[in-house]
Amino acid sequence: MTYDGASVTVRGLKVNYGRVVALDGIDLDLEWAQPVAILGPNGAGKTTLIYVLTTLLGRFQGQAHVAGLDVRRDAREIRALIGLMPQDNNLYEPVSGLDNLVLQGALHGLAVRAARERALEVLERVGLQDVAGRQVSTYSGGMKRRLVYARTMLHRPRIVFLDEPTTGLDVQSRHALWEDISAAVAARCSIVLTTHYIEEAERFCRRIVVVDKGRIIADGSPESLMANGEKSLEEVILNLTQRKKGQE
Amino acid sequence: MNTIRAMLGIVRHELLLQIKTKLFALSLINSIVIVLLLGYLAGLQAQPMTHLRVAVVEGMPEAVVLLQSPKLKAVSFASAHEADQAVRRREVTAAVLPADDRGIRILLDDSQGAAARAALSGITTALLLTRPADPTLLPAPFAVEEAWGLGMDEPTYLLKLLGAGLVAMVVLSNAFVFGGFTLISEKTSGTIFFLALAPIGRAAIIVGKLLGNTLLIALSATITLALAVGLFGVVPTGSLSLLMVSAVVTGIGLLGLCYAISAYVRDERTFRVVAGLPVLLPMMFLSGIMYPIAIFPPWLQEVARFLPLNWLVDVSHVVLFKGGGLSAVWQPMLLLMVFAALMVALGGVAVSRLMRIH
Repeated sequence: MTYDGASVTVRGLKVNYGRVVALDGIDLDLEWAQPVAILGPNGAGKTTLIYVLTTLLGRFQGQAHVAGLDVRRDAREIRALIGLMPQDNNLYEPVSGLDNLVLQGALHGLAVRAARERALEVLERVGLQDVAGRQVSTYSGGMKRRLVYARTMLHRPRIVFLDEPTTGLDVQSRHALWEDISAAVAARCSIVLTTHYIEEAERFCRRIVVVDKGRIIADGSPESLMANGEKSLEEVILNLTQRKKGQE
Repeated sequence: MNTIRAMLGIVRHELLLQIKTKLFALSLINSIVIVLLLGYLAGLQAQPMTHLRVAVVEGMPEAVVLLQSPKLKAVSFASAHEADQAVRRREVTAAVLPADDRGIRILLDDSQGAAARAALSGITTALLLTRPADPTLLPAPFAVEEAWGLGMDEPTYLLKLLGAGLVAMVVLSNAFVFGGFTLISEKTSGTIFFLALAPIGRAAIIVGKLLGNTLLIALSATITLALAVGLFGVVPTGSLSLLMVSAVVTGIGLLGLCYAISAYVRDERTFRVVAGLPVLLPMMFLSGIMYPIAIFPPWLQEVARFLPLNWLVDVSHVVLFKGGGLSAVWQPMLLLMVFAALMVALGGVAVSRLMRIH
């Protein structure tokens, strides 16, 4: 693994679901430790891009490298380096929050005792230490979301993909989550974020990639994207995606 | 080392999951209830029905024999007409009446199905086996011998038979619950993709799941075996380790089959239809767990011979009743191993495919 080059490199990435084109020739380079937001309307291809980069989707055309490793060839090595917080709270609800995290630790090679210690540490960071032993099915939506985040960060990944991380979280929990993510970035962790809360992306990320209909239609800092006098990033995205519709 | 830790983590997790969801206990209890309830009701006709009432006519030599017989509850009537009417009024299940040629006529209440057959069997057995007052009237008495000494006339006989089938039933039920419903739940909740993100090979994940589920199946089989011995009066005559190995191998095969089916069906309801009707029910009813295969018509017996659970029941009967060793069970055990290898390969491919987004 190299930390010198890009954390993610994508060239000519194309994905089809049957006749539906999900990604249509994406080129992208992401630097290490730079939080990047991938924004766009529903069905733009954001989640598909994350699936390719996290090795879950193997059928694609083009090249994709994560931490200098080939997504097709070095999938196992890549999975050891990355964390994915998916849109859905895909947790084992009948068992406790702690047991969910112990499994994650074990899957990343930790002995049960070490996994348990690490899990308690992460649970404290997300404010779930008091309910660690409770069945996940008794958690609120926000607690489940925090647990998914805790699981994503448990094995200290170098590149973290956050797919709508703050959906369903209250203001305090969002604040705590962004603080934790900032600490990870400070420790040279790369963050790839997709969200519909555009103000969060604007506040947290120095680079915004706008995707629509499987293509990158804008890429730059929030300031550079608002160079034409738009008042917010939301306005930029609305203009870009509507212009694209108009061109069609 | 990491792969082994990850596999052990999956095994631990599978055990926790099945125990916390109470699926382990429910599957075990369901198996016992199904076998006892259905098996006992269906098997009653194999039990000595000493309570069946049979009318006899005073003065007939056979009446003396039947009244003495412990196989039936014979009731004496003054005339053949009264005995005949007793059958037609459903007071008795059958009547033994004089025939014109100095023989006997057995009148059955054929509206009573299995009970009528049992009455007929009871009458003929009593006439053949009971030493008559006048030996010249009836065939000489002869002895009946049981090949395995299970005590067909004992009240626990049926429980012994069902006890031997319990192990197979619990293996089947557990495999369907752990391999089918649980995997579908992983699919619908998305946890299968969480597993797919583990930095180990897909095969290690599948083996971990398989090991965890197999451990639970072995535990269930041990509990049911203890029940069969402790409560149902089964006295094992062969090597229990052969039976346990066979149960585990069958469980692995059935888990593989259920993984394969559940990987391709959309949800639990579809699984119930796809796996329940063509796989679960035939295995449950045609494998000799609750009904002896010998009662099936020949074509159905041929079908039953291809059911893997039937091979496990074969081993179970040899180990628990017939005192045979490996030489007596190597054939069904070999078939079970081949079945398990094929099904694990099939299930492994299916689950591996499931862990990818298409």
